[in-house]
This record gives sequence, structure tokens and C-alpha cells, in this order.
Amino acid sequence: MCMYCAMAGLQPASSDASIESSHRERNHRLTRRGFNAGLLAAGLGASSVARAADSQTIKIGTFGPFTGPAAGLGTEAKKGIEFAVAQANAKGGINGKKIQLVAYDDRANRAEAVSVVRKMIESDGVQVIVDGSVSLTSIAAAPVANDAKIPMVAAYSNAVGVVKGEDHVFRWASVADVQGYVIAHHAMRERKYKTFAVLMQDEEYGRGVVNGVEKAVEELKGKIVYKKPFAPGEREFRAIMTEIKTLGVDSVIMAGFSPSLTSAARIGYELEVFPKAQFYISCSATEINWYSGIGQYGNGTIASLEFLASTNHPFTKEFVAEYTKATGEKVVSHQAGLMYDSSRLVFDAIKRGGTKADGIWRALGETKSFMNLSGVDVKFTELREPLLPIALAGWDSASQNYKLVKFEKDEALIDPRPWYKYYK
Amino acid sequence: MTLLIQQLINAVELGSIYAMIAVGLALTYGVLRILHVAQAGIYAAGAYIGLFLYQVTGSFVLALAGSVILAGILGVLIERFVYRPMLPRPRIVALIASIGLLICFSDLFRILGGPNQLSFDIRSLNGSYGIGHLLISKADAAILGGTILIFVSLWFILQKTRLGFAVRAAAQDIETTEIMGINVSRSVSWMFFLSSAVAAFGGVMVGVLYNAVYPDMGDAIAYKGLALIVIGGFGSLTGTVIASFLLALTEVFMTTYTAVPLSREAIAMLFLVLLILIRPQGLLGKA
Repeated sequence: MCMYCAMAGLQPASSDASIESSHRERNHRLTRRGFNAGLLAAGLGASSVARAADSQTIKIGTFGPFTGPAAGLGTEAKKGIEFAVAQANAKGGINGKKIQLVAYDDRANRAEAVSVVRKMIESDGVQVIVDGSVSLTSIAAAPVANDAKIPMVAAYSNAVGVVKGEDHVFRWASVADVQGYVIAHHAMRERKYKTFAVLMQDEEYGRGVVNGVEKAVEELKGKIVYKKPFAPGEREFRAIMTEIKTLGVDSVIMAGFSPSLTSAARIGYELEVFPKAQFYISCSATEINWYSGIGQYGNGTIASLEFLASTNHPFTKEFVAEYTKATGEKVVSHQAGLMYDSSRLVFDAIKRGGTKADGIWRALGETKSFMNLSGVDVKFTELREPLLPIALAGWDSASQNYKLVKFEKDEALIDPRPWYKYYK
Repeated sequence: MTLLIQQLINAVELGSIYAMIAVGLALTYGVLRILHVAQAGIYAAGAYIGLFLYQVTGSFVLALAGSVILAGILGVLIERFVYRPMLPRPRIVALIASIGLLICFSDLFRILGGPNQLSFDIRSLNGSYGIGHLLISKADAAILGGTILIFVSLWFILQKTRLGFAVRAAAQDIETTEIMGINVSRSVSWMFFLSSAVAAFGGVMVGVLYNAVYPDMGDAIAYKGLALIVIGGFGSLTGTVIASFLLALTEVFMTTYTAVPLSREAIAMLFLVLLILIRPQGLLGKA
């Protein structure tokens, strides 16, 4: 195993494959060097200097909503990849080459996402993309990358449709349904809750989480007595919480983005729905808006997280210290953390597979496991989806941080594969 | 019964927020026949100014007062330098300018305050008042009290003062009002000041209510406000206030007492479309 693999906790599928791709990359570099020498001989100096400079960098593309209503998500994602790139470049780059980041704003707009992904492939010549956008836009952009045979890793898009059917698209986050399934299992098996109110953000992510909740509740013979959809960005939950209060449910499970989660938690506590009923929320619980908005409320709320920055693993501690120092941020947000890990995954694939799309794609496909920033080994399935352990973590108002309840590693619960049948 | 009363309280609270935005829009439309969409931007500006002043002074009362005054001045500036030069042109020109202003506001707040929501946590307004089984959050109570005070003041200004007389006269016929020697320009400026100040009050209080001030906080309220003045009867203040509370009641009670699998926003839009179909001239408008 190479030193980098050991550092990153990575196990290549086969050492033969690594050696083969390493030879391929070496041959490729020799060929390119020969080509450059030919150009110089032909008197095309300026052009060849540019090419020589290019050959010393690896272009990695990324896109996300850096402006517009979802800018909070995209800018956090960008911080994650920028930090990963700076960190890697400070250590000498990958195989001696510096990484050059090509970043575009999609404004959380499907058409814009398609356009910028096409641009970074056709004009900028990126060989791999780390997707820093939401499910809605990732679903639109995935076929573009796939058709061009450019590997793409979706960092925090949870909808099945992002990866399903696109064999050049990989995911680092969990499938939305898995989160709901894990939450409901924890609530029913470990807390013995029977009755639930479910609040669903009415788009791909929210529907996926709630699908997981519904299947688990059905299997474990519980009962969902109340279910309401809400629009993304909704903050007014007084009427809903008032009604839930009269139902006396054991638990409220909510899937949505952090502004809605934060507002519902505050209102639920004000109306004394919580902590009488246990509040469970989906992974957006570690978006910046939760930390800035929850205030004195929310104590005991349990979130399903795809990583936890407050663990004692040495890798996590080092990362958190360096990240907070470099960015000035107090917390590692959901998007920043997942983008950081996705970037490391891509860097590792470049290290093993070379700088061309085909080699990177093959190396990504050969990745059997990878250590995330919480220090947990994450296995990959043949569907290019991770078997990502879910960190169930409770919000502690006093420290304004999450504390680990448990890492759910049961493969029967975190496996993304069973959920594919629900999506065309 | 407790549920019904609690939901009524929730609806009144929500209706108060809608009314604070819509009433300014109705005033502007009533006099100038301009759809002042940028009013929602002033609402958000009020929240940002209030938050900034609170961070600087540490006093919520000072922050609220300062925000109301500064937003009022901002409204006057918009009227003077954006709308007034456009008055001789078709009203669609002013509408487009207004939409542009709203977008600019949103981007300006994003540049100045960042893309994430900012906390506006006033600890003294956290928590609830309990009356038997009923609960009213302190922020909601402040909004209710403020709304009552604002509407009583507006009624007094419009009905009992020279400014109100001028505004009402201008709403009927600007040219005749001018011929009669009334300074319409000054009256219109005051009207913008008042409607912007009310919007800023709404912005600050909503920012505190949800502990969130964010760049596009005016977006949803912008299209709802427009719909409300149409339903109210194109410039009718009373109609707009009634429409605001009707909309809030519909949202709350449809959410509570029906199994319609729609979000609050979708329910609101359905209600507005239905009302317009049934009564195209609006609640208090003339056919």
C-alpha cells in the first residue's frame, strides 16, 4: 500500500491495478514530453511553454450555488474544496503536480448547472469534477459529465437520481432514504418510540429521507400519525407545531434544509412540543444556519450526520484545527466537510489513476474503502455509492455543538442499494 | 377548542406580518398606481439596518427606531430618484425598475452580510406567555402590539391630518389636487416614508421572530404582498388588511383541518387564484 493510501486510510482494490495505472501514467507523461520537444523543435516556443506549464498542473472542476438563494450551501462547499486543494498543494501537489481549481457558479439553477459543467469540460478541459451543488442541479448536470466520460463525485447531493444510471458519477454522501431509515430505526429500536409526526421538505432530498422513515416505521410496526410537506426555505411552523402538540406523538422527524430545521426547532420549543417529543432532523443540521440561528433552543435534538467533526480521532482533530485556522470559521459545515472528503477521494484517485479522466474514473471505481474526516472507514458499493456510517448526534445547547450518540455502521441500515428500486 | 383558539392566534400573528408589508404597497398603488415590489427589499433592508444598529448600540429599542427612520428615508430616496422620473412613462417601466431594485437589494445584502442567515437573537423576546393552555411567543406578542399601534397611527394620520387629507385627495386625482394648491410631491414623499417605516418595523420583528436575517427574506413576501393588494381591491387599505388576515387564516386552517398534501405557499397561491376568479375586482374594489 502506498504511503498516501495509508495516510488516507485507503485500500486500493488491487495493487496490480495501481501498478498498471502507474505505468500507464508514466508512459503518458513520456509521450507528452516527447510531443512538447517536437513543438519546440518546430519553433512553436510560446505555445509549448504554455503547454509545459499546463502539464505541471492538474485541473479539477467544481460547481455549486455561489450566489442566489442557495449561496450559503455553495460557498461553504467551495471552502471545503479550496482548503483541500491548498492543503494538497502545500504538500507538493499530486505526483509532483499542483492542482488548479476551476470553479463555476450554478446559482442552484438546473440550466446553469448544465451550462457550467459543459463549459468546464469543453473549454477548460477538466478531467474530473467535484460536485459542490444540491441534488436538483446535480441531477441535471450528471448526464453531461457522464456523456463526456468525465468522472464526477457528488459531495453532498443525497438524491438517488444523481448517481443512478450515470456510470461516471460517484457519490460521497449518503442516499437520503438511508438517513430516514437510520433515524427511524434508532427511534423505534433504541428509544422504543411508536408514534411519529413527519415533516417533509417537498423536493428530492426531503422526499427521500421521508421515504426511508416510512419504510422503517412500516417494518417495525410503528405509526406515522401526521405528515406534512413544506416548501424549501419555509420558516413558519406555528400552525403545524400547534397541531402536532395536540397529537402527543413520541417523536417528530423532519427532513429539510437548515433554515427550516432551525425555525421548526425554535418554534417547537417555544410551543413546548419539544423536548416532550424527541426531535430528529436530517443531515442539513450542520449547515451554518443551524449554528447561527438555533440560539438557546434545540437541546437534545438528534441529527443524522454524514460526518462528525467533534470526534477524538487524531485525523479529525488535526483537520478541524487546520481548517478553522485557515478559514477563520468556528465550525466545519456539512458542505465544507463533505467537499473536503470528496476532494481527498478524487486526489487519491488521481494519485493512483493518473491525470486523465479515464484513469481517474477507473481508480475511483476500484476504491473499496476510504477514511472520512471523522476517522471512519467508508466502504464503496458497486453502485459507486458509499456505505457511509451515519453519525447520530445530539445537539448540546450549552456547548453549541453536536455530541455523538452513536455511529450507525450496520450495513443493513446504511446500504444505499435497496433504495434504488424506488427511483426510475 | 384549545387547538382552534391557538390556531386563531397563530393566524392573527401571521396576518399582522402580511399586513405590514401589504399596507405600504396599497398606499403606493392607491396614489401613484405603481406596483412597488421593492417595498419587500425595504422590509429586508429594515432587518439588516436594525441588526447592524443592534450590534453597534446593544439596544433593541434604539435599533428598531433607527431602522424605521433610516428605511423611511430610503423609501423617500427611491421615490424621488427612481419612481418620480418614471411617472410620465407607462407604469410597466416603474414596475420593471422596482423588480430590478428588489434583486439589487438582495444581492447587496448578500455582498455585505454574506449568503447565510444572520442571527438577530433578542433574549428578552425569547420564550412565551402562557394563558391557560394557550401560548403566545413574546416576539409574536410584540408584533401584535406593534401592528395595532401602527394601524391606529396610520388611520389617525390618513383620516385626521392634513397629510392624510392630501394623500387621500391625490389617490382620487393627482392633477386636481395639485391645482387646489396641495403640495402633492411632499405628500407622496411622506407617504413613502411612512410605508417604508412600517415595512422596516415588519422586517426587524420578523428577523427577531425567526432569529434570521438573510438576503432574500423579502422574496416570498414580495409576491404575496402584490397578490394581497390585488385581492384587497387595488389600493384599498382596508381591503388589503382584510385580505392579509384572510390569507393567514386560510394558510393556518387549511394546514390544520385538511389533508391537502400541499405546502403553505401552495395553499396560499391556490387561495389567491380562487379569490381572483370569484371576485376579480378584489374584496373592496369596484367592479
